[in-house]
Amino acid sequence: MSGDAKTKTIWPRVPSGFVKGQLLAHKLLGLTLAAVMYLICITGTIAVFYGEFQRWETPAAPEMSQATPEAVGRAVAAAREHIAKTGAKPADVYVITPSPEMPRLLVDYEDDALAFDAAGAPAGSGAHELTHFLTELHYELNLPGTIGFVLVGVLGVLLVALIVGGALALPRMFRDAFTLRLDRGRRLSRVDIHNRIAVWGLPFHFVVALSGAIMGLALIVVAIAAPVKFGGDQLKAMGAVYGDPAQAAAEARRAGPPVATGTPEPRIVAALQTLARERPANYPIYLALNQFGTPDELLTVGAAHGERLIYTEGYRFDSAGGLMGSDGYADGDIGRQTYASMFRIHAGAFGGLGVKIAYVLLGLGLSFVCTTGVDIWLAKAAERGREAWRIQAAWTSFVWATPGLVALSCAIAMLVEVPPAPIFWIGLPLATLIGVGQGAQRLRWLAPLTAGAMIISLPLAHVWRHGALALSTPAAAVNIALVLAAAAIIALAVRNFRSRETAAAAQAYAAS
Amino acid sequence: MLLQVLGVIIQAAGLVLLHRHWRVRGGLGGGALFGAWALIILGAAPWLGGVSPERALALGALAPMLIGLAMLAPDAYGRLSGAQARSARPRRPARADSGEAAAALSGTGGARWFCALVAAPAISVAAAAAWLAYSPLSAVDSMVTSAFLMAAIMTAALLRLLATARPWPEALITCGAALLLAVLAALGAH
Repeated sequence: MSGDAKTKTIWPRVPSGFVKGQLLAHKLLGLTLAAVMYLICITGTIAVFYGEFQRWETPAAPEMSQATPEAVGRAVAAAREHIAKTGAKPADVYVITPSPEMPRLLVDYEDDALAFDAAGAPAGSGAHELTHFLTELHYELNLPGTIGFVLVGVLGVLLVALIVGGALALPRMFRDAFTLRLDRGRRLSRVDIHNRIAVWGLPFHFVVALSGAIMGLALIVVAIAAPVKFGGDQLKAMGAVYGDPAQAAAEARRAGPPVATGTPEPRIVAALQTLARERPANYPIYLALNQFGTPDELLTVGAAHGERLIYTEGYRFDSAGGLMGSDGYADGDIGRQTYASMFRIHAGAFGGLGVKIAYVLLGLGLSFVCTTGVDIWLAKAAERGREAWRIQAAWTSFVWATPGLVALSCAIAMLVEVPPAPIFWIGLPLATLIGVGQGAQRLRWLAPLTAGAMIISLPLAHVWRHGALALSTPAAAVNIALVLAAAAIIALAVRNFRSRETAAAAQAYAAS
Repeated sequence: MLLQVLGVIIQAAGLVLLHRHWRVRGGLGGGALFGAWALIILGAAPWLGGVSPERALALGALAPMLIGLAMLAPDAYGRLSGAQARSARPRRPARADSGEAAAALSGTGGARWFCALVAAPAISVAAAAAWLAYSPLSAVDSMVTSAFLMAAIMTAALLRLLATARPWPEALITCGAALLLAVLAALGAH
């Protein structure tokens, strides 16, 4: 019985056939992609704090709020010498300058990362392979080359389809926004939890999925644009979005002779001084040295535009450190500005700690929506007398093993210095298969208990590896967060175990 | 910061009003509904101070989502602690949401998936190519809009082909359209 007959609505009635069709589409997409979507969502949620994770991973690296142009120039000179000594020939070298997001001076290239102190003197390694593992697990599933990046981009489109289809299958989306029928059985309670979290988080889910999709589809667009718009020239197609390096190099040479090296590197010092003078509101976040070590070496400084969503504006400098121009991410074509805004809106990197916490909560919600979708299907099967307990057990194992193994892989990698990716990708199917043998009832407490234990191994490994440094501010915050997360999960396991005991005792009493 | 906090409080007030409207039999009337949404939108205005409109929109949209979820939490907590849910039944119960897809449609899942996996990417790529070939916008604007177009068309095609009762004919039509667009793109290529 409802009050619907007395409630007039201005909206046209949605045909039930359309709703059922969209529900079918949503179910087909959701059940097929649940596992990989959950993996991408949960790793993305964790990766919101990628900057904090990097600082936690390398607690010995010095931290500072700013570095002078001379200090940065000295760091670049030292890095150049180090790279020459090791025989590495990186195409691009990135200098991370201190900022609120990353208060460190680092030089990062494909083979290594170097840390420097506030004066620009070498301060040991800045390598952060665990952070790379975590972020690459999210945006390319640790697949080689660009395959993974494009695949995850396509999965982003499929997630958009799931979100839009799910919304279309809920014509009463707003009127039922506060409805939670938690006392109406296993399936209906899960339907309501799934729908309510999905609807309330809808703007976030849609924007995050779409922005991820756009970043991943960019490579496909370049591949299509090359033959259609640029006569088959892939480099021209890339240049349309990212700038033409050959043109930039020619422009840079017009300022005079090639880069003069020294300590500190005069070009770096001059460029940063020029930026501070001409763009005082835009502090540098990174320097990019493209075509590194060649006569055409290009210097671009990525500077913050704090009031915008763009990641940075790129300011190009000539061989004498004079400002040539910008890449146009802040004030160029609308398309370029839009594309440059995708990362911050996707990663929640636009409003400090508060926004990151909001993103983690909403990201956990999206991950939960992935899990409850499968739960609904399993509950419906059980109602029809077709209990798929093996699938239930496998799914429960998979859901808990994913975050647990991310932590355990990192812990093992930290202790014995092996790559974490193989541990994760071998461990995940193994844990899922082992779970099938345990049974769904037992897994209700065993799976979260195991996940909690895996998660707590990470701060323990960190303390073992780094000793007192584990208590430094950024590292301690991450360790405390990991301990609290593990404690919450273990508490859930204990609760599930006790409710199992209570149910068994009630059954025994009824039988007697 | 004070203004932003005030904005969040205003948005919360709007959500409380929405909650009342949708829980009471017959609702509170169109005026209350309009007022609730107006409060939610206006509460985001303080975020405009000192940041660009797109950043303000991103910041202003977060609070309503979290507040709405928080308003559901008491019912959820009741379930977790084993206690009776705080409000067992809404005054305006939801339509029996059985989650049932049309039975007649569900038997052809494999066919739908095959059609969707072939036809949806085909038409989205072809449409993007055709757009790139004829777009009057600058090169970078054309490329970025084509990415959004690709995502939109793939989404629409997937939802259509997975939901239809006739997956094979519709997939054939979609592939035909993709071929036509690809030919157009090839003719317009430069």
